[in-house]
Amino acid sequence: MATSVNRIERIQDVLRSLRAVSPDIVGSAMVSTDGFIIASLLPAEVDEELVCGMAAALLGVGERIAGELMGGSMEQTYVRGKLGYVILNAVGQEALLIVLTTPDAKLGLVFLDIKRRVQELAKILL
Amino acid sequence: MGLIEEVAKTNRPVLGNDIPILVFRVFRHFSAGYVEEVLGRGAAVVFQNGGRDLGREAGTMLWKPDPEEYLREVCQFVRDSRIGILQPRELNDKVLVVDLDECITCAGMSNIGKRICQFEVGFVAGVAEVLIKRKPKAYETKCNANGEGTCQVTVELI
Repeated sequence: MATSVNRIERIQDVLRSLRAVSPDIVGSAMVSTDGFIIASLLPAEVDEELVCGMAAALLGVGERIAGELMGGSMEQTYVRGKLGYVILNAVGQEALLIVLTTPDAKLGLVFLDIKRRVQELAKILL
Repeated sequence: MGLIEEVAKTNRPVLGNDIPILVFRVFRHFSAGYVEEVLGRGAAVVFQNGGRDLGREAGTMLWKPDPEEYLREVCQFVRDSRIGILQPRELNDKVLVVDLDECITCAGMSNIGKRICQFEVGFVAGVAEVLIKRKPKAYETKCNANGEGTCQVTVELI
């Protein structure tokens, strides 16, 4: 149990550092592919259970469409809305990272930050 | 009004309310097949969360303060509804394990090499959620469709 709590704290630290490194990043969460929240820095009004289900489904669609249309594996899925971007990244086989950004976020930098944090998160999950 | 009460309203004076299990399974497996084709591994979450919603609603309707009495009520409901024969195998602080014999979705099917009853897993998880008042993890530990002779759901209560 202590290990599990420690691991969640480490994941939360990574999520905090992701937000700290870029003012464009306004929220993030780590979700298991079976639809459970692992750690979250999402706004309080978000229905986390519903978002977990949606994120797992969207990851599945992303993987399927990348496979069908391009014959390759998916690395990232993102949705652009009027109020910003929602970016989903697979973290190994068992989890995914959700990142929310502002609408005028510099995506190249955000993607770079996400890539680094995904590597850290994957190590924590091992 | 919950969804159970809403869909319970029927008007089929000629055809009646009973259908063969084959018809249920055809609807179930064709829709599941397409959802899996589109959502890939995301499909399992969708079915499990749908089952959770049903389990929560049914569990709330059947709730009793005593956990054993509550589980008996749930088992009776599942049997009366002919969803299957639900039998608790283990219940302690850490885990709830139930067998679902004669499963509505897969009993009698050939071994197709995978466990497929995600909706039933969600149902049991939803029922357990009413009991422990938080969302537990649940998974299928046996399935007729995987050649294991029964369906079995394990719910992590901690």
